[in-house]
Amino acid sequence: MSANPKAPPAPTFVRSLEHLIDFVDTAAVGLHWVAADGTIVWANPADYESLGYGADEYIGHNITEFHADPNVIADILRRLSAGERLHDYEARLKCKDGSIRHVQITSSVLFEDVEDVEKGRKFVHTRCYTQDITQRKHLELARDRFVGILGHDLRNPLGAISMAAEYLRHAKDIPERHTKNLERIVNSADRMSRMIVDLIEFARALGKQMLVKRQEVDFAEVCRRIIDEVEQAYPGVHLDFDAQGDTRGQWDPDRLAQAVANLVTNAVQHGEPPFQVTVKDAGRDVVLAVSNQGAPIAPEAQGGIFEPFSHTTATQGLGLGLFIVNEIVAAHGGSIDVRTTRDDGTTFTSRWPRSAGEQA
Amino acid sequence: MILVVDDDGDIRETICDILAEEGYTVAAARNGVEALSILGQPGHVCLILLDLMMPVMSGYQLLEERHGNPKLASVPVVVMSAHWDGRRGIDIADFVCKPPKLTSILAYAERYCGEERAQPPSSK
Repeated sequence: MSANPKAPPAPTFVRSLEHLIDFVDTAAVGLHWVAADGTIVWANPADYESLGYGADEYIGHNITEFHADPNVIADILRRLSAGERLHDYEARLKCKDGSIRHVQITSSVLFEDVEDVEKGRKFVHTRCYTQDITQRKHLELARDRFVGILGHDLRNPLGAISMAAEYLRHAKDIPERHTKNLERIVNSADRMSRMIVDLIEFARALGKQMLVKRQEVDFAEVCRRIIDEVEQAYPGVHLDFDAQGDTRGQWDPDRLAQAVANLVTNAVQHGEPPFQVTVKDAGRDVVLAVSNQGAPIAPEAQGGIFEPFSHTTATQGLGLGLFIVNEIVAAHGGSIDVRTTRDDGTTFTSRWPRSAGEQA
Repeated sequence: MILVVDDDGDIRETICDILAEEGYTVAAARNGVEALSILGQPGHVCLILLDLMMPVMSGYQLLEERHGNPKLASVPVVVMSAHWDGRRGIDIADFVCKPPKLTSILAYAERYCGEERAQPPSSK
C-alpha cells in the first residue's frame, strides 16, 4: 500500500519532525549547510552562537567571512566540491568580538542526480558538523611550552653541572675522598637528564600518535651499542647478548635505540643478573627479548606496567620508561608483552615489523 | 679558536673554561649576532659549538647566514640542542643532544682544533 501524497501528514510524523527540529536546535555541536557558492543556507543556534553571532548575522552570509585562514576554507570548499568527505579537519573561526575559536570540521556534500547526465550531479549543500576544540588547543599550547621549558631551560643548567663535575672527576689534583662525591653529582645529573627526556617524551605523546622516520637499520647493531653504553654507565653489570638470523629492517634508529635503552636500563635497575638480551629473526618481524632473574613483578602491578608513572618497585625514575617503550613499539606497528614468574624471572618480549608494509 | 654560542651563561662559561683549561683558545657569544661579530674579526675559527634556541638571533638564523657566506660555510659547526630537524641544505658537522657530554665536546675540539691546541692539559 502506498501513501496518498494529498493526505495531511500523520500526527506521529509531525511530532517526530518537531522532535527532530528541537534536537537539532538544542544540539551542542554546530551544524550548518553551505551552498556551492559558499553561502550559509541554514545553521543551528550552536553554530552561530558559539561565535557570538545572531542567526541573521550568519545565515545568508558567505562561510569565508567567518574563517580566519582564507587558504583553509578554500581548501575545504575545493575538496568538498570534488566529492571528498572531510573528517576532523582543523580550522580557525573568527568570533564577532574578534577572538579566534579552534574547531574540527566533519563535512560532506549532499549531491542530487540530475536528468542531464552531461551536467553531472547537482551540489545541493554541504552537511557540516563543527566541534569547538579551543580548550584542547590551549592545553596543547601549554603542553608545548612545558616541553620547551623542560627541553631547554632545565637541561642547560643540568648540562653545566654534569660537565663541570665530570671534568673535576678526572682532574689529578682532586683528593680521592672527593671523587666519590663528584661521581654522585655526575650520576645524579645523568639520571635527572634521563628523567627530563622521559618527561618530554611523555608530554609529546599525550593525545598524539608518535611519528617515526624509518630507515635501514640493523637491530642487532643498535642493541650492541646500547648494551655497551649501559655497561659503561653501570660498572660491574654484564649483559649477555645473542643475535639470531637476519635482524635488519626499517625502523626509526633513534626511537629504536631509545626503546632498547629503556628496556635494558629497566632490567638493570629493577632486576637481578643474569641479564639477557636476545634479538632474532621472526619472518616479517624482528623479536627483541630482554630478561632478568629478579623477583617477579607483583600481579597487581602487571596490568598497568605500560601506563605512565607506573612504579613497580622503589625506583630511580619517574615510571615513564616502559610507557615510552610501548609508545615506540606501537608507532612501529608492533607489540610488547611481559612474562614474569618466580622460576624464569621477567622477560619483556617485543615484536617489531620490519617495515611499514608489514604492520598489522 | 673555538667559538661557543649559547645564551645560557652557565653552560657557555663551563664549556669555555674547560676548553681553555685543555689548551684551546676560545671565544663566547650569547646569540647569533654576537657570534657573527666575532666571526667577522681577524682570527681563525676552527669550530663553532652552537645552541639553537637563543634570543636576538637564533642558531637556525646563524646557520642560514653561514650558509650564504662561503667564508663562514667552511667553519665546522656542531649543533648542541634538544633536537635537530635536519634542515635541508644546511650542512653541519654534527649534532649533540643537550646536555652535551664532556667527552663529546672534548672529542670535537680535538678533531677540528687539535692542531691549534696551545698547551697540554694542565691538570689531567
